[in-house]
Amino acid sequence: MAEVCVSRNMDIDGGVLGIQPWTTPRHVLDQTFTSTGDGTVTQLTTLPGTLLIDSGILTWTNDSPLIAHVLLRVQRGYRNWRVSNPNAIQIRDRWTWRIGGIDPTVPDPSSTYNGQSGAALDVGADVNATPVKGQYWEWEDGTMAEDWLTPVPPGEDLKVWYRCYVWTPPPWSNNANANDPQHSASVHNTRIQMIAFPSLDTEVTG
Amino acid sequence: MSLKVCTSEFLISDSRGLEFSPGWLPSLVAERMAVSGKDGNVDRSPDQVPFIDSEILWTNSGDDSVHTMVSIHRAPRSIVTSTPNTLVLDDAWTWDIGVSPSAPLPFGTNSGVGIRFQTTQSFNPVIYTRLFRDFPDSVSYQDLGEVPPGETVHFRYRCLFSTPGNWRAPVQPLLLASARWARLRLWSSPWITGVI
Repeated sequence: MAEVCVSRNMDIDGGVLGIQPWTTPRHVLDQTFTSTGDGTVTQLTTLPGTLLIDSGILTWTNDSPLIAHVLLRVQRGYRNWRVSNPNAIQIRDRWTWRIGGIDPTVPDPSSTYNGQSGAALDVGADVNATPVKGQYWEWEDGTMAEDWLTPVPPGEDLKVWYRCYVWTPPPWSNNANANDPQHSASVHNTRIQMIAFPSLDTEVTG
Repeated sequence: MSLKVCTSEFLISDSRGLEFSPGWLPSLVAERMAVSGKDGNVDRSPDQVPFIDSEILWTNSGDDSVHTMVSIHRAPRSIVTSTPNTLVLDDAWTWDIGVSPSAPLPFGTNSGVGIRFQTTQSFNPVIYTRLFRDFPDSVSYQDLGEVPPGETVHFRYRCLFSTPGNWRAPVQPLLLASARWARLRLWSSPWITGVI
C-alpha cells in the first residue's frame, strides 16, 4: 500500500494530517522577578555588592522530538537611582545557562556581566576637603536584552539563572554632598522569557 | 519510501516524506559580532567617528520569499565627560535588498546614548566637574521586509562617536567612551501575501 511519510513537525492522527505545536515559535517560560533590595544604598565597595533580584534556576525541558533553539529575552524594568558627589552607584546583572542535566554556575557579575547601569558625579571638594554639594538623579528606561541558546536536544533541559546586584564602585566618601550623603537605587523587576524556535526534521527532508 | 504528494508553497514532498520548506520556519539565518576599535580616551569630534563598523550579507537561497528583520544588540556603553562637553555614542544602520545590493554608509542616528553636565554659566570659567555614566545592553529590532528567492539583503551598522555643541577645555579633563561591541542577528520568517 502506498503511503505518505511525514516529518516529526507533522502527524497523521486518524487519517487526518496535522501540524505539531513545536513548529512555530512559542513562549515556553515567562516569569517576572521583583527586586527584594530596592531603596537606600550605603557603602558597598566590594563586588558583587547586594543581591537585588535572583531568579533561581529556571528550567525548560524540550518536549519535542526535534532540536529546539531558544531565544532568551530579558526585560529589565525601569531603574532609578540617586547618588551624591563624589560617590558612584552601579547596577550589574548577569545570566548563566546550561543545556543538559548540569546546573548553570551562580551568575556572579564581579568580573563578567551582561548589563550595567550607573552614574557618578564628581564636582570636587572645598578647602577643608569636604565634598561640595551635588547630587545626581537618574530615571532610566527599561531595557531588553536577548540571547540565543541552542541547540536543546529532544528531552534535554535548558536551565537559566539570572541575578541583579547593586554596588558602589570605590572610593567611597562618608561626607558626600557636603556631609549630607543621599544614595538610593531601585531596579523594580526583571521579566525572563524563553521562546522556543522550531527546527527542520533532517531525517525526512531531502 | 514515501509517496510524493502535490504541495503548495512552503512545503516539500519527496521520496523521503512531507516536510515544511526551510523558508516556512522562523529562524536565525545569519549572525555577526563586531568589537569597537576605538574605546578609551576621546577628544573633540564635531563629525561622527566610527567606533564599530559591521555588516551582514545574506542571500535567500530557497525557493520561497522570506520576511527578514534584524535585531541589533548593543553592548553596555560607558561614557565619562568633563564639564561642559557633550559626548555621544550613536547607533546608525541602513539596508538594501536586491540581486547585488549596496546599503549606503550609515550616518546620523537611529538610537544612541549621550551625556552632558554643565556646572558654571558659559561666560564664567569652568570648574572641575566629571560625570560618569554606564548604560545597560539593549536590543532593537528593525524590520527589513521581503527578500525574494535569489536576492540578497545587505545590512550595515555603525556605532558613531561625536561631541555635539560647544566645546571648552575642561579643568583636569577626563573624557572616555566605550562602545565595546555590537551583535547583529538576521531573522527570517515566511513572506505571506495572503495566498499560498
